[in-house]
Amino acid sequence: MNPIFLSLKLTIPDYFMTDAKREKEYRLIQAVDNGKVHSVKLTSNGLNVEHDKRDDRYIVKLHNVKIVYKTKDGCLILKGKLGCRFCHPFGGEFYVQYASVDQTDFDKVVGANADIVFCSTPMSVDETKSALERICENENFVFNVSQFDEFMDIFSYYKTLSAGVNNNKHFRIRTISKPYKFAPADVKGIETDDENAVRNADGIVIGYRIEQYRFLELRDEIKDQVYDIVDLDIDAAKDDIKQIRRFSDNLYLDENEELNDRFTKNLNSFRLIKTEEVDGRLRLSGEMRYSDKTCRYLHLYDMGQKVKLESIDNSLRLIKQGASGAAAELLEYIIGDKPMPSNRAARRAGDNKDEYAKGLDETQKRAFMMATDGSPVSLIKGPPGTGKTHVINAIVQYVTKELGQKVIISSQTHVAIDNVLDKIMENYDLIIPNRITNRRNKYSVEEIDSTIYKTWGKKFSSHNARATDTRLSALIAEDMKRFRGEKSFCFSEKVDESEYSVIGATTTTSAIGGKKGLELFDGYDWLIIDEVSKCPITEVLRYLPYVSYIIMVGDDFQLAPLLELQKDDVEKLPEYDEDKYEKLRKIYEESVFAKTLKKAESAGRLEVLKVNYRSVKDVLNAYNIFYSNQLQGRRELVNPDKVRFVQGSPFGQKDVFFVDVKAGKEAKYGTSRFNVEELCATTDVLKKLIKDVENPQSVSLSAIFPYAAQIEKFQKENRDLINLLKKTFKSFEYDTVDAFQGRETDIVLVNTVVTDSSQHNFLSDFRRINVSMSRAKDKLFVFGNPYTLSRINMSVSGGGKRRYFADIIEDIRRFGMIIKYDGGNMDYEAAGKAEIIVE
Amino acid sequence: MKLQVRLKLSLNKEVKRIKISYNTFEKAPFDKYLAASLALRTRQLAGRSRQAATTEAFAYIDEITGSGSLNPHLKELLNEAAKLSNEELQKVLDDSLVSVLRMNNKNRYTYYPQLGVSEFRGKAYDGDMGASADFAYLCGIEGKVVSTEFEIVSDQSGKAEQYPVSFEENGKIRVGIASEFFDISDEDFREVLETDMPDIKGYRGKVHKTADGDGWRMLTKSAYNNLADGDYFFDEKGDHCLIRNDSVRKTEIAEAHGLYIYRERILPYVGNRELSNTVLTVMIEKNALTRYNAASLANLLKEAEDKVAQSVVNAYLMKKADRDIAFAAVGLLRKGIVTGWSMQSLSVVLRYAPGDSLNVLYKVSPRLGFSIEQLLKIDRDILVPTDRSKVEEYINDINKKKSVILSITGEITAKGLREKAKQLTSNDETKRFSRLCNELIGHVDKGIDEVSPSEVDEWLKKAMQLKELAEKIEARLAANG
Repeated sequence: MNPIFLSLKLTIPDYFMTDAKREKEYRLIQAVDNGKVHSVKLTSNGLNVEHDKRDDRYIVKLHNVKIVYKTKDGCLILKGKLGCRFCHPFGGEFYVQYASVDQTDFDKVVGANADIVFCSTPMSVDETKSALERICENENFVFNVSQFDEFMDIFSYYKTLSAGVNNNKHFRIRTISKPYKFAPADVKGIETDDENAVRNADGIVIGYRIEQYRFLELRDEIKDQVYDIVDLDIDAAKDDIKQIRRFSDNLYLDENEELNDRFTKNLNSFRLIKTEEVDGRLRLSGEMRYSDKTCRYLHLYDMGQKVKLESIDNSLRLIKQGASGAAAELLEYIIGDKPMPSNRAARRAGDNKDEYAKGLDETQKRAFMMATDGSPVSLIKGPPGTGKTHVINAIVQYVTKELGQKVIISSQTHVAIDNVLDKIMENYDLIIPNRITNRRNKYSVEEIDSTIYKTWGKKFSSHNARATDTRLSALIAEDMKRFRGEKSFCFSEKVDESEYSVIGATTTTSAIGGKKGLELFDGYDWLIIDEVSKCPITEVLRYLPYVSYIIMVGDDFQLAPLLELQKDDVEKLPEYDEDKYEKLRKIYEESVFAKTLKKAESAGRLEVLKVNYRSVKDVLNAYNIFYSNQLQGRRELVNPDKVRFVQGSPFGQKDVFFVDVKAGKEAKYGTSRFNVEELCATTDVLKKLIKDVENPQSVSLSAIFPYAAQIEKFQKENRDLINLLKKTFKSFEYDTVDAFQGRETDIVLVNTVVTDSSQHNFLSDFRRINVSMSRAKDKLFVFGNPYTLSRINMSVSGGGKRRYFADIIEDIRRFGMIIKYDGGNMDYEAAGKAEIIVE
Repeated sequence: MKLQVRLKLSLNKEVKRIKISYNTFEKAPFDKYLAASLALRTRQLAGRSRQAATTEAFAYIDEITGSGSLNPHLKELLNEAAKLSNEELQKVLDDSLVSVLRMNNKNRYTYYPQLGVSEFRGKAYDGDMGASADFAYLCGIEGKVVSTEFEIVSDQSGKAEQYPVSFEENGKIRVGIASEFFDISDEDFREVLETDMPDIKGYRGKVHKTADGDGWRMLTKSAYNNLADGDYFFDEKGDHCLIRNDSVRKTEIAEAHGLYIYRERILPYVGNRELSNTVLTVMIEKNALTRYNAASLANLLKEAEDKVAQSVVNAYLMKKADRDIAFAAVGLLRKGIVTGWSMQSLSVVLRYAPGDSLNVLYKVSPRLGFSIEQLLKIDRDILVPTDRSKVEEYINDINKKKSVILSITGEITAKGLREKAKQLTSNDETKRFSRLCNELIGHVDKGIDEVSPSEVDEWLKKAMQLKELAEKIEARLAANG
């Protein structure tokens, strides 16, 4: 197609000349206002067409048009209105509103080709009208949204189902106790007694009530882990407990019967810690975000879901209108047909990247360099323990300090975000974030001032030591010794919310409802999503319209997203349609990361972190099989210390163990399963760990179960053991694998439960077992039936099936230890002795 | 006598905001304390040159914060601290307290010029309270007030709003602001009073000529029109009574001080037999029964006299079949009201009647068309001979079917076919056989004797299928040797 010729009058508004801040832009405009014909591309992602008022068949003006010029380093972009001028000199006109430069490769810009010249005698009005017509007809001119039609349909179906299952409810609060201090069970260094123990319904100690006078005597670092909780007595029946627990992430307190959700940021959330029945009423204990508000009602409110849907909807609307800046392109790169652009060779003049990449290993460095090369999309695959947080930290430091730009850090879980924020807050030159959440959080605006004190203020003497003027630093050190003021900073009162260079918000947060919430993201150019493999595309879309660069960090070999709308919950809805639901599940449960991985790889936008710093050699080998043994272990080099065992303990001899549970048999409990013998083996190993670990107070321990029924049984039958483990070890946690992603502990026990390989079970998905095993740093115990496990076919990434467990058990047999567990007897076999029958 | 009426008045009203700037000493946060120390010590080290002190302080901040977020923050605090004298800085370091200039602009009050009264935080104060020296104290401000500034946020003069107005025995008129009453001149009152009086010539109830007490409102056109919104009657005092689902809304209308006023009271039906009878009678007369919520009507029936209730039930069920009203009828039958029923309404009652009420219903009329399932639930000795033999025949038939089922299942059990079938290669037949065995022989929640007559047929059908399958299974077992 021939380029469209445009001869136009260039109109430059006065503000370019008068506003000093726009001087640079003015110079850019002048560079093309030279009477020469330039070959350009015309594009728009917020097109607004103005028709002739007298005859609406004709177009007289196009708003939000971008004229893209090729430059030596990339592109020069003028943005403004292109149309007819109805005053002297009559004819074509471009009214410029913005000018900028970009490193994007001109050849990769999609747009209508045009030859353009700015002059004082422009083309006539009629010629202009016909040129405008041609521009609009050009298929490359505006963002093609039709490619996402199927996605839009499915999302709209998701909304419909979601609205159908939303079951908000509220309960009248009868009394609220005065706040009291609560220390979670894993806080060590507090004298505790049974009388003050706070237990859950199964009698497991979840924490301790701390008297005020005792709290005052605690060390500061322990005080930080103790918080105020209250007891709410509510009018609710015993049957409501289940529902309240199910909504534990969506409990809000309010003075009104109807929750006003227009100002979602002010919602007073309640973090449930425990429920119990007292005198026929329900008593809920938990943490309130504000304590000075009158609270008359407890609301079970699916706020997160509602706000999430609203904001995704808003993003889609913006994208559909093409009014979302770079998002339209980002979306095309991520789920559309457009290839991802890459500026791998590009390097900003005079940048100081190496400084920020200090301390990163080779693969981390490559990931950092790629992510910051100015390309819009980057993917970093970070297998377990390979230092994703380190890379993200380096990127954030570089973007905020070197480029002076702002970053949104997001993830599905609070823990993942807080891990990154911990990192950016740990040094003398800390970056202070704004954590957006309805929960109590140390980085939220309410608490950031005291957090700065706890992180930076407490380490002041080491910061002070950096000063070269030793006389001054000595005087200041003397003064600071006399400080008796508020252990806090006044940072938040001096800084406007829009001035924080880093925002942390989950992909599902309810704290950014409404227009006001979304305005918060204006001016944030970078989006980093951690643990993105757990994110469905809908959640990524949420922040897309506000950013120009997206960095996705995750691992497609770890847990994938789960559609929260269970079939059982929605199939009774009138809107339910089997085909549509299955399609929705497929789209939803395919993470953005997995979906874009191949595309990114072929475009050179993928880097894989390959050095594992978490697990000792033999533990790493056990799960390295899932990564085709590509991960290199460097744990022993970085941290050679391991959990120590008493002399003679078989657990001290090896690092990885397979507990072959004889006569174990899985049993069904509803849709869940349990295996009594395997539980006995697990509790016996736990008991032995209590005896054999030499320094339990510094050792973290966890038990990972595949099925809820197994956890329930474990918890019900081992109350005293669990309480003892929690007291003895630095931490002891037990849960399903979903709760463990992103975490690590020194010793990990993994149950498999399955003894019938003919039926579909959780082990068919290798990602679940990969995540379970890769949580371990020093010692890994896998329980199960080797015969069954060796026969289970697991899906291999990229297609096909493989009996991974046969290899894993063989590996443990060679390098670890097989423990034969038979009716309470543990028979330890040295490496290489046991024989596993594998077909 | 004293009369209190809520009236619409367009009183002049100014909403004023007051800005109070005040100084207070607060515990110094760490960063402010550090800035004070840095300002003072650099000043001391640099001698008289403030410029050199600032440069040195900035260099120090660069070193201890790098290019992190605290860098611009500490520099800003340093600039603030640099404005203080050495003595002031020293004081900060000695006491760990900083002087903070705070501005409070959150307080608003409303001033009513015609009454000479202000309203603030739900309390009334004489005069324009913003001018009072105590205002800062009333706002809870502790500290030295530096300046105060007023601003009229909105002038709502002329905007009509509801106020309680008290007409005193001595002829004075007083307007209520924040639970207190203030005099208003008769002239001002007439000027600000908003009237929207209806023409009530056609009103059939009584307009009282005297009124006292509180709870009165001005009768407006919309309030008057609202009276006709539903079924109503006039009670013995001539007051309007609107019939509602659970109560009557009684409206008294009076004429006082040249105004029509009204007062409403809600009279619930619960415990008020006389009112309930009246309401039901009015409903029948107006042919209005089916316009009301049936559940509420059933509750109302419980309050009324039985005979009145029965006539309502008859009238209702002749028009519309409804479970709640049918249950009300059952209640009356149980109370011994067995005569005076229409056949049509009883047929509806039978449709909804619970099992334990069938005896009484049968006694009233055995010809209502009882089904066999219903007859089975009725005492045999009250059944008429034809119905009795119908029931006996039916039971015999069921027993025969049950014995067929038992013989089939018994035979299969005796032959041990269930176990033997497991030796065969699984196919559709064995699966169906196993499923039917499970349903009829093992794992059943109820035995054959507990099965309801209507389910027996279903069981028999399954038993026949089972028999057929059992024969096939036997043949296969025989073939396998």
